[in-house]
Amino acid sequence: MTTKNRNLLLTCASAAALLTVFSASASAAGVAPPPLPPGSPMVKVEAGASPAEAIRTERAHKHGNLRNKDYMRPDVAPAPGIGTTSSPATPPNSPSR
Amino acid sequence: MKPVKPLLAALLTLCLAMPASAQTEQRTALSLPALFTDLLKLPLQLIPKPKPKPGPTAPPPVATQPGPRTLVLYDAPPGQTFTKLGMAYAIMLRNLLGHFDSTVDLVPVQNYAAGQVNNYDATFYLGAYYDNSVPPSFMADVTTTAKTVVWFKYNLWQMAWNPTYNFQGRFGFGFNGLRGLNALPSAANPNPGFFDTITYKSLPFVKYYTYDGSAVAADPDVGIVGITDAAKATTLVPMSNPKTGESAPYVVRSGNFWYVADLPFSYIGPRDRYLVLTDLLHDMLGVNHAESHQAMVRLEDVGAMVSVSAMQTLTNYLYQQRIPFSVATIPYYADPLGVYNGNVAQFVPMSQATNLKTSLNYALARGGEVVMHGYTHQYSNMRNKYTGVSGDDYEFWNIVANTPVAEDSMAWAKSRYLAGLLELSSNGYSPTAWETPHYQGSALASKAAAQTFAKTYQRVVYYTADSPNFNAAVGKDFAVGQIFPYPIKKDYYGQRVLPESLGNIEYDISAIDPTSNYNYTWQDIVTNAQYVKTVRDGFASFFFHPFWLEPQLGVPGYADFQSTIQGITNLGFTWTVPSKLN
Repeated sequence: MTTKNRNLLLTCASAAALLTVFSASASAAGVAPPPLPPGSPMVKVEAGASPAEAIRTERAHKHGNLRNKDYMRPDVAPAPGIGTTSSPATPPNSPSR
Repeated sequence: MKPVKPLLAALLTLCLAMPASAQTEQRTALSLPALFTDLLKLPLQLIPKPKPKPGPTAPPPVATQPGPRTLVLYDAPPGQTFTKLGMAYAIMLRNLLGHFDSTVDLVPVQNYAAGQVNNYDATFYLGAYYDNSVPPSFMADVTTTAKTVVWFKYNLWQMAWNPTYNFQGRFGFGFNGLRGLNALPSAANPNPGFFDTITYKSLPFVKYYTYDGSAVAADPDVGIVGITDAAKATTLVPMSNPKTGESAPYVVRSGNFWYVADLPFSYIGPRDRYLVLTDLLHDMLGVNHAESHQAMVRLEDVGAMVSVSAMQTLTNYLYQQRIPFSVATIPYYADPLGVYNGNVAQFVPMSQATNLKTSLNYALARGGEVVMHGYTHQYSNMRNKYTGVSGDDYEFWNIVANTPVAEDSMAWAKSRYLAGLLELSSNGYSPTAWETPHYQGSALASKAAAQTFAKTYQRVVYYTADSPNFNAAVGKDFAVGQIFPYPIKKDYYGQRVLPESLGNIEYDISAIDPTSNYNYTWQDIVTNAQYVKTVRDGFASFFFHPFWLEPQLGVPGYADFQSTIQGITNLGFTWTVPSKLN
């Protein structure tokens, strides 16, 4: 998700506004609601991932190293087994692999 | 052979949908006879099979133990801008219930029918709107039912303060009021504090908070309850207000009735109190999965331009550690604007992507497996939103307009999935799961993924409508990103979701790329793993970009990758891969 998207999924229901909207329903229920905490009109609630997490999922991962890159020439000398699907030797610490 | 017909139709759609330049490239890569041959080789195991019909002599189907039947009631006051907010929360809860193979009904609370609670193993009421009217029939049923009822956050006062229900006498706790911010935030006191710390299994889960000088981004309101009869009610999880030194119950249980003081679906993250709920759902539903901790690592955004050296180094390390892993593979490289190719459009089908295939072959021979990460991991010939280049941009969501793409449909999405599968299969690869580029596709794209792939391996964005209108004055839609700590057997879109719960290492390389401007360390990832381990069957699942090993970036990518793997291993997680998860 992006900042832009984040803004659009913003839930920002001003509690003060909701108090007004639903005061009639509270009367109907026969119970007066508790007062809202201080600062409620300043509070914007977003459903879902926090902005920090939303940024993380949209990493562009571009860093310029792609420029004119040769996608057919490996940047390493071929290692044993490279380029094949044959099984390599058992790893040194895993006799039971 | 059955699936071939739809595959052909989808490929025809694909040819119509692809940019002309890409079509040309595709034609050169695949002759028609080869295309038909390749269709037959498609990894059909990825496509959910239709249920076989029992023949006349077939034995009766084996009775399977179904998951719990659950009802999720949510606030949806008609005619309001935020009418659908409660539905967004309900979708998130519904997804978590998918971990338990639950059959879930989502119902606006005003549509509750008397006695309905008794038709379910458990009912959840999401009190998302301050003083939204709760039907008296529901409150009356809550006081009499023997079934589990879980009430979240607001509106408990309508029952607790109405003597009709004898709430305190019945449940052994009372509702005392609401708390939120301790004071108005200001420049001098930007964080006045609130009940922001939930202690669970000895770890502090801290609720998100930021203040920009005018608005607060947080969800500080909680219901304050007090135990009046310890024989009837118990505080299972406490919360605290560090600025005032107060503490209060966060989760209370009284027999079959639970109260959660918060609605833990806002501002979620890997160390958020949301995880507390994901674990407690086992107890709420009476489905006590055994303590089990598995880990997964995925090498990310591996496409035609991948560094063979980096992939070989990472593969060798994981192989030596006996750790299976997956490779998020972009089958078809596209740079339609020539951003990285001297302003000349460049397309690289997998048949020509020598370095990619070399890397994959090396990995697959050493415990790796392929996850399909988009078809091109970019969209059309536009910057969506960065470069238009594979790996950079969104593919199944127009992030510039924040809408579905113009072609959005299940058929269109499926045609791209099939094109990607064909690229892979024609080069000898069979993916074990799907991952949406940048974790965001449209609702229809996700539904199409559910029909195409047996597993989706990612965080997921959900919408309150398939064609969402985020700007409607009445009933505006919401998009919510959700992180999962464990597999979800069936999510809101029908996907089987495998978790990515920890995030990924990032470095501030803004001198090279201005958008890569923050650090997220291996210690962050391992700390996240500690938190997800509080979930009894929580997965430590992270991903890593092989390009961090490229020497010109000057970051300790390889050392940090090893530290992450070692840190998670030391926490007692067992490594696995998508193909091993049912």
